[in-house]
Parts: sequence; C-alpha cells; structure tokens
Amino acid sequence: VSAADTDTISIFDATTGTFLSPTNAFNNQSPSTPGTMVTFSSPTLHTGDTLVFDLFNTSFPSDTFSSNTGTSPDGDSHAYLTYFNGTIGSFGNIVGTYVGMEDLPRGQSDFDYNDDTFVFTNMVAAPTPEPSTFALLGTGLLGAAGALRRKFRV
Amino acid sequence: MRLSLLALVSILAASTTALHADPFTPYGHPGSPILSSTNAIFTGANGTGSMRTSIR
Repeated sequence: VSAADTDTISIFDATTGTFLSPTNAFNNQSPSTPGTMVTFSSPTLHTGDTLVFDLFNTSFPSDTFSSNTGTSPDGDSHAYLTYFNGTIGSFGNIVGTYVGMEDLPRGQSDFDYNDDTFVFTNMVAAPTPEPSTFALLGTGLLGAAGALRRKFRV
Repeated sequence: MRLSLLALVSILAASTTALHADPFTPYGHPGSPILSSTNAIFTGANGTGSMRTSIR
C-alpha cells in the first residue's frame, strides 16, 4: 500500500551535523510492501550520537517533516518511536525501534503516524525529560543550595 | 509445599512471558500531534532500517 504523496527519508546525525548515507532513502512509491532494507552509514557516526528523522514529501518541496520539532514547519514532531519485536515479511523476526512518520503539515494531517513506517536496529528512542523530572531536579537543586547556604553562613 | 510454590511461580513467569512477546503498539493518539522532539540515539555499528508499510 502506498501513500498518495511521494516520500523519502534521511537520517541526520545532530551530534556531528552530518547526514547519514544514503539520503532520500525508502522512496515509498518504489518498493512493494513490506519493502526494502537499507544500511545507513557515516564515517563520523559514533555510539551515543543523536539521530534525527527527516521526511521529504515532493508535494511540499520547501518543508522538512522532522522528528525534531525545531526543524518541522509546524513545530510538531513527525515521527513516533516505540520498541518493536515482530516479523517483517521475508526479513523474519526483527527486534528494533519502530518509527512511524507523518508526511503532512498541521491542518492537513491526520497525525496517525503511519504514512511511512520503518524498523531500525541499532538505535533507541532518545529519552525525553518530562516536566515532573525537571520539577524534581529543580527541587533537589534548591534544597542543595539551601543546605550549602546554611553550612557556610557566618 | 516449597516445591509447589516454586511450580506456581514458574507457571506465572511462563504465562507473563507470552504477554511480553510483542509489545509493539501503534501511535495511541491519532489526530493529536506529538509536540516534543522524538529523535533517536545510535547504539552501535551497522545500523539498518527496513521499511514495514507505507500507508495514508
């Protein structure tokens, strides 16, 4: 099954500021379903680097629908990531990170994150600090500051 | 008594293993965009990706 628009994706190494090769991979109009397997590489890619998923839709030539909200035209993330352990066609059982992407901007999108879907091995979803985590950290820092102030008061 | 307790624990462990066999869940909030970045971290050499489906 193919999406109406022609989509490709690229993976950007945000740590080093370089795109992995190949770029504009997984043309959704070319492969059958399930489609193709691609190995991405970069000479500067190292364990721990942050990877950004960029989707290019030929119907929106000036936009990049990205997993990075700062890059997407609408400020939304266009990638949903979750753990995957299952069978993919002839590839058999694959354990990895499922990435479902949305290829339209806010106002035109159904935001079900299933326009182009992939499973990647060798990467995991980057942790996103929740507001409660920040609150806990802030409380701890305030407490530590208070304790130090009391200790060194003259 | 101890043996039967061990057996019970084994049965419980086996039954919950099946529940964890495929924890994949599709996006749970259709219509609602994700508002924060959802990037990934590279965990080692030879990363690959396979297209699963492509649907509207």
